Amino acid sequence: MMRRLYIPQDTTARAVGADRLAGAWAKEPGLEIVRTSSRGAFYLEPLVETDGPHGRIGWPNAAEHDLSRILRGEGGTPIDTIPFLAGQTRVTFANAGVTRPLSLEDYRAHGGFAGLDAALRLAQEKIIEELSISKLRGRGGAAFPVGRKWQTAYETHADQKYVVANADEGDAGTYCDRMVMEGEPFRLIEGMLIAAYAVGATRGYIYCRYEYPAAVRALREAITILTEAGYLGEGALGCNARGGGGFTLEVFVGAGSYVCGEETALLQSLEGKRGMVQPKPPYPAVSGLYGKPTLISNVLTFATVPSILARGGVWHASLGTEHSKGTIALQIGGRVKQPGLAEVPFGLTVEAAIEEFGGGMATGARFKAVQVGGPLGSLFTKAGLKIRICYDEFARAGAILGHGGIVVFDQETDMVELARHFMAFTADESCGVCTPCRVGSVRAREILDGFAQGRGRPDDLNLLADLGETMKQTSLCALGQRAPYPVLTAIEHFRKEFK
Amino acid sequence: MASLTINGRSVHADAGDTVLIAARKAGIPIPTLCASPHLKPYGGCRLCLCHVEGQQGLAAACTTPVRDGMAVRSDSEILNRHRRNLIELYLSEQPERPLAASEPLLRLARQFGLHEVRYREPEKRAGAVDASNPYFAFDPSRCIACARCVRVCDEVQGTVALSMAGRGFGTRVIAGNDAGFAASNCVSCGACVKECPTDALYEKAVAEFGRPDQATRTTCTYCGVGCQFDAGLRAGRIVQMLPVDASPVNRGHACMKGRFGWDYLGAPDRLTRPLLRRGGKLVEISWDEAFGVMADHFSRIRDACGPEALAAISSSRGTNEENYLLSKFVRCVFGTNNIDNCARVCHSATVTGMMEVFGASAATNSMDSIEQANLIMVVGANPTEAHPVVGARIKRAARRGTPLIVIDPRRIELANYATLHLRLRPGTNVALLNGLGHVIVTEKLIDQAFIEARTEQYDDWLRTVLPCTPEKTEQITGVPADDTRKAARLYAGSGASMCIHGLGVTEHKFGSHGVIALCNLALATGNVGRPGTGINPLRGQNNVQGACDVGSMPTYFCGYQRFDDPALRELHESVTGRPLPQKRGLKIPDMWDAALEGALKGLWIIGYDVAQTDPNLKKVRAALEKLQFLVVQDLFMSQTAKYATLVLPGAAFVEKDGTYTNLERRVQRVRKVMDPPAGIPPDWQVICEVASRMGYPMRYNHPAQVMDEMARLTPMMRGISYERLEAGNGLQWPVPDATHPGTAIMHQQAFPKGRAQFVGVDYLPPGEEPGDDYPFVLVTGRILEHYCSGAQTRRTHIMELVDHDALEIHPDDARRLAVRSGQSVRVISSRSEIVMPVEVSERVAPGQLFASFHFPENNLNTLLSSSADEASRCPEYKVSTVRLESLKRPAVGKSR
Repeated sequence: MMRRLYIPQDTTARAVGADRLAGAWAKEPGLEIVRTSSRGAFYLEPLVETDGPHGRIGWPNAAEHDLSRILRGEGGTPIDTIPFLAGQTRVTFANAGVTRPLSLEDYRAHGGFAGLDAALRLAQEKIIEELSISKLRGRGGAAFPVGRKWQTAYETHADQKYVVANADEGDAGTYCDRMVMEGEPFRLIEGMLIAAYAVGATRGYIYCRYEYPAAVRALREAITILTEAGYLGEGALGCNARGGGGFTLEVFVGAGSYVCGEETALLQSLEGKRGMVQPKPPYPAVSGLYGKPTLISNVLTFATVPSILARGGVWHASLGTEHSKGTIALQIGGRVKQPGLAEVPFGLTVEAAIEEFGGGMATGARFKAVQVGGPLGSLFTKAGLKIRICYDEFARAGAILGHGGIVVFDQETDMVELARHFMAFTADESCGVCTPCRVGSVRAREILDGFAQGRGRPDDLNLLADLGETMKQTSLCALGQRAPYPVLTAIEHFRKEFK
Repeated sequence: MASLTINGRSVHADAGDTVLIAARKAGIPIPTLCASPHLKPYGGCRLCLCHVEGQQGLAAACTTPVRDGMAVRSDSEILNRHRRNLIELYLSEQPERPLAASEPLLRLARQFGLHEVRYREPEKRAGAVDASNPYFAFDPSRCIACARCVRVCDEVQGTVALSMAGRGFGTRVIAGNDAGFAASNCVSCGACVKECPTDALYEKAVAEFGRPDQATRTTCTYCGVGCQFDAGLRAGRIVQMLPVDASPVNRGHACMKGRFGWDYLGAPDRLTRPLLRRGGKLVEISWDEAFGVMADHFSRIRDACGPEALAAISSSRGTNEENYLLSKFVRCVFGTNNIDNCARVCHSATVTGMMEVFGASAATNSMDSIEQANLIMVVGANPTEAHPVVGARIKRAARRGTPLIVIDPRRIELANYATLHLRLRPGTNVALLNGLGHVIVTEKLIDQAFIEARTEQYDDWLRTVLPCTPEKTEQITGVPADDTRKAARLYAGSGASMCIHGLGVTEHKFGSHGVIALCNLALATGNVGRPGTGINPLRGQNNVQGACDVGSMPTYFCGYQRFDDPALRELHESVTGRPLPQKRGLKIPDMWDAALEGALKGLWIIGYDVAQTDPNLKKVRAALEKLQFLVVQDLFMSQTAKYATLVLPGAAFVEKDGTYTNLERRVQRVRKVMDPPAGIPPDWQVICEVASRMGYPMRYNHPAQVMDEMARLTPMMRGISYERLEAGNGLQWPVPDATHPGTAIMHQQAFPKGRAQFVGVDYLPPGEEPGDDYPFVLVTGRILEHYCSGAQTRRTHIMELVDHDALEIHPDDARRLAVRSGQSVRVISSRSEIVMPVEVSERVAPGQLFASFHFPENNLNTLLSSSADEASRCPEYKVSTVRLESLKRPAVGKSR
């Protein structure tokens, strides 16, 4: 009898040797190796799984010589008993680690296209209504109500509309979009198809960052498969309400600019122009790509849509807190024991996220600070960890959830260097349109250079605060507006180090 | 309409206005550096941030649309603190040299109480000054990266010579491929310089002589567009010509020639004293003596040989008043209609053709129709070079998505933006236009209702176009039959198609037929008398429209009135005291024949270099030599002046008062900005003085009185007066009375003669067709950098950009002749041979050549025949056959 082994082919798993295992074991007789997506429990990768009587059995951190042990069934852990995974509410990532990324059969068998099927039975207005009921907010960072965006794109009349997925996932320490694209590209595309149908778009683009070659390959392959299967392409599915134009989808690879994750800069880049931020209004839903109504959302947002249509907006709105509905994909990293992806309903505290899912601090590490929301996110110290992960509490604290990245720093971290690094990042990535970001980020970095080199003066901190306030209040986009937060919170919490 | 409050003041704004625009309209100042009324919002400088009641955070006034009931606050301690901080950031990147910092920035710093830059050793902007353009320079250290220069080059001029390179703090402006302005595709329109808020881009003349301290509004003379400029003076010297934002004609835009090409005014070889030929040499004489010489000679010839032995050629660069006075002089003092103007060699075929079909001879619409049209068809015109401000406007329309059809043998710049480029063989316009007509008829695309209600003789046209199938058309024109079909469908089906044409239609053996064929298409599809439609000739010289309008023509009196109109005859006699001559006068080409026959003996030419610019120059020069008495009045010693008995210096446009009429019939003021050198009297005073000495006193205190006289004599100008012209943006004729607002679109209700008349015209081949002896077809025309005879532009720093004419030749032909760009060839026609350098270019088709005609040393026009349109005598400049012989000569000078 053939024995089946599941080995993830996700980039992170491959980085710690998944391909090496698959290659080494490929020639073993009687062995079928199935490459799946990853469960996102990256501290366990490579996580090799077999079928057990009551579900999958896993062998974490597997090495080549573990094969005989695995085949004998020695030392395996039932997946559903791993606390990191068992404690999660997997919705969008329900199939992570389970299915083959490019198997339409697997996708269908695990609930794929239930959302699209439901959508196709509804009028466009009804789909949008369902989205509004779900209270889904954009997962890219801005948290704009998705239903309202769809409504605007739907109501704006034009001869051509577009749906664009923002896959320029640039925040350090975040990867949930990559996991969707590499692990279950059909889910993203299904979400985009529903959106296209709802707003009347016939063309779409996935703007994928240059640094994600595996995601690009998976997406292109998935598009080919879905085109052949009749889901994509001109006339497919009769999917455009006005005229049955179908939905044609392409992948566009960015050129490595962080600011192209900002939607207006992204659309400029997609048009072949320099990725410069544009003033809003007009909003893309009214005048976006080539001046046409464009529904642009982050990958995770689109990937969340199929389950909302399949299970109903009310179901989605039943998860989470009052103004933050559904689940959030936390990507926990830094000096914790268990780095990885945790999908949980909104409302968990940061402390619980670090302890329950991150597993606490890594051996020998003492907690110093945590940054939530990527390189533009605020820093919290121990005193701030009781904050609940939801839009309201973060907004009140002047912080952001961003794209769900959580990076934990330990006692070894030099806060001056960290602050300088964040501001240097903004100075490097500034598009150069607005003055507070273009010049301000360089001035701020120069001041922090001074502290790093021991040339800082007390007045400089006041200047930094004054400049920071102007950057926050006057910058054109979130890059300049948010850039001062990690720096100013570092100074607030660790003032003694700035001398 | 939206009502809002700004700083507590109630303000009304149009829907779609931004808060900044609403504030500006209400006169509420909001500081800004990156915003411009000519450009789309950018949101870069952030100085215009405001509080909006009920809205979190601050809103940029330049990008925030007004809402009804909105409450905006544009000044507060918080806002001013941010503004101070932002200006501090700007100053922190400016160079250390304190005086090098931009003055406008320092002004803002003072305004917001910024006294010092707190940053220690901040990194500065870098980069060397680029002074490669002859007229302006760029100092990158004063740049604030607002991109206004880049945006205006893109959004308004459409050249995209500039771009922003780098990002973040490294963001900087580059020209072309970052090799400087001169090496880029910059067209020196100066829009970037005007937009620059910090003097990073600055005019060299302003830097040298200082900012103007007074300004006089006037009209440019470099083409028929009629752009309005403020001539800026400093210590009596012109230091700047700034295009006027409020002008509906150019809306603040300009081209290289108008913006910068005025440095010829002070050229060292300007004529300043009358010169009389004595013993074969020209010697200086006094003005008094010159008037006496003219009166004596003209009187002698008139008395001895009769009025028909005298003629005058007026300048379509001169004012309406001067043109009217010279024609009055010819009619009342000489007693003949032998008066013509340079329109003869450019748009006389338009005058003839449009008169025949519509009964009026001028652009039917305004240039505003470019924005209103659903389709633009450009026929035989190259506006981005010859009428650059209109060219930029067409480009903007095309880039916005307005379909564009270009009919031209050459791949002109607009062809790059065209939906369809119909690249016909030179001289086959009528065949192609009839082919379009065939498709329109056979595919039932005609506007039956319009034809029935507004036209007559439809069948006459129908008979001529019915045999012209697209396939037959292709045989004659070389235009693929399918393209003819597509073009016809687009033109007939858009709902509002605007036709713009130029000398590529008129300067043919059957030029007036080309114009008629265009008019027929407009009638058949109902594309006349509405916004965004019409037949719109791009008049070449600044006042070629006006010169014709005011009667400097041998065939019509002022306002295109017929000599035999009894009412006019009576009115003329009562106003002028002299009878209106009844016999049609000599057209310019007829004058050369008459001179060679000895019938024409005396000629007065004002501002027209016939010995360089007319075709078949050998003949023209022989005719000039044969004259007994030739007076030439010009700014410079032209080729024609070399044949003169008496040379008179002329006053330039900034040295006199008057009016010009632009290509959309808009009569606009020209104003005296400065005194002419050496007390040169304006042309109108010269005419009056000679007339008086010949026994017909002409007395006017000011050109305004001449205008009043024209208005009395001319129904279509009756409502025009200087008083009204001073008050607004000129007046578009017809202006039938003093309360009439002028006519933006003609023929809306009826044509001058009631119905328009279809006139069937059959295709006839051009005067010459290529053969074994002369295998190439030579087309002549203008380039952006130079103007007509080049008398003005050759005396400007534009010469640093282009200093010679070149012969464009297709790469295949160049290869066969083994010539490269810059090498000279011998160009031989049956009339003459010349030598000129070639420029290898795919703009021309194989077998075709294109040459510009701005430099007299080439003697280009000696190659051309005397072939001309039968009806209008407009010369066939656009088709001559030649052969080429290669020469081994070194490459020459600067050209594009």
